[in-house]
Amino acid sequence: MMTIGNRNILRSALAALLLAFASPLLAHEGEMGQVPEDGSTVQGTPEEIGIHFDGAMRITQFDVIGPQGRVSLENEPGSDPTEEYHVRPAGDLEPGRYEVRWRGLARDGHMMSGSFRFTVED
Amino acid sequence: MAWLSALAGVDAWTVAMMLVVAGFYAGALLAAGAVLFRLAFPDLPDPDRRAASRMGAIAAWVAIVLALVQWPLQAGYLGGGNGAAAFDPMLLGVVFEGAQGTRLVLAVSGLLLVQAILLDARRLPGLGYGLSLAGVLLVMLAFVQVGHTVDEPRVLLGGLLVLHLLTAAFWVGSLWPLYRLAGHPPAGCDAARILARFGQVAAFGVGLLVLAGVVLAALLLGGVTPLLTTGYGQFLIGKVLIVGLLLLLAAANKWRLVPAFERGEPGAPGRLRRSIALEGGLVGSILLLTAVLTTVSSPAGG
Repeated sequence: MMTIGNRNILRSALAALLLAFASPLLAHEGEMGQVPEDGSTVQGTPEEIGIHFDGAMRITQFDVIGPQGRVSLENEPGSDPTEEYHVRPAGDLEPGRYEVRWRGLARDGHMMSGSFRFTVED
Repeated sequence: MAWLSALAGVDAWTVAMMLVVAGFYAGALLAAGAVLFRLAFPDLPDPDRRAASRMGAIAAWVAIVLALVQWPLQAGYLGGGNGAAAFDPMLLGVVFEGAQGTRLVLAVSGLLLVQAILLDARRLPGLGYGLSLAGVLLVMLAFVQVGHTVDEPRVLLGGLLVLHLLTAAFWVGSLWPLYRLAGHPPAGCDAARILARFGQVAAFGVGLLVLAGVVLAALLLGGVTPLLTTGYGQFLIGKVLIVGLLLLLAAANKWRLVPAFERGEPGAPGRLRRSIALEGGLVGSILLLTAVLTTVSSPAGG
């Protein structure tokens, strides 16, 4: 039978163990920012659309979907490891709400995905 | 709740990936566990030893198939979650060239070596154990190729994960042989003695399993707050709760059901078998939750 004293020792040991390792380790590459920023409104067609990470990521899907459906893109960098992934719309963007959906493979083998939105005004 | 929002964007493709990952975990742990169980209990009666070996070999083949199925599933996910992307040579190449490819090669090689468990232990005493143990080692190495254990301090993180997996494999791999032993005490074999000794070995193993898991989680999460606020942390709490139930069952087996079995109480074998079967069900749900946790969340991003 565990006494209250023993239980306290066990709890203290567990707390000490957690505190001892209380500095977060560097995790796999995370999404650091978007262009245009998530939720932002831009005047006219943005010069570039992209994301950046705090480590190399292999982007395997990068779709921009707007009021007219999928937007044609140019200057797509391919799926080589990169910290910056930027594309240019092939033509002018109609005013409206746009969503960017991306997927990629991090250095540690994690498959990652994300999305962000922006609005284009005249 | 963070865990609900982590599941909100899950599509059918991701669900398929999670199920295949859970199946792979189960197969790989059963295969490795069968080897470890046979090593820990070399005096198993012949029929039970053969049954444990067969279980290990079948589980290894299932895990090999699922590891291979994961490859196009991952490529398909990277291409947006569709069948055409699953067989896109570029995407298959991206997966294979990275950490997932290394894991695939190590896992399949290891699981093929685990088949050596079927070699006759009496005619080739060292060879079967040696090859199948090398297989277990490769399978363990496969697990540390992907995910947060590749970060620094890699040796510590990888070592903790291998320790956690080895003890988990031993537990998972022992369930079917113990279920058999509890149901059919073979003539001339002291099934009760093996079951009681398993209780002693398992008590030590479970301690290591929990300790390695707690330290690993503390290192990856960096504190108590992310445990409560992130999807990863909340999935982890769910996993710990099920592990708690599993420990209660294991304790009941060790202190109540196995002693009753030893005393030859009527109904004791049935109760022990039901308890072991329930443990198997709980292990299944832990593996499924682990697959969800590693697929849709991360210690960094929630």
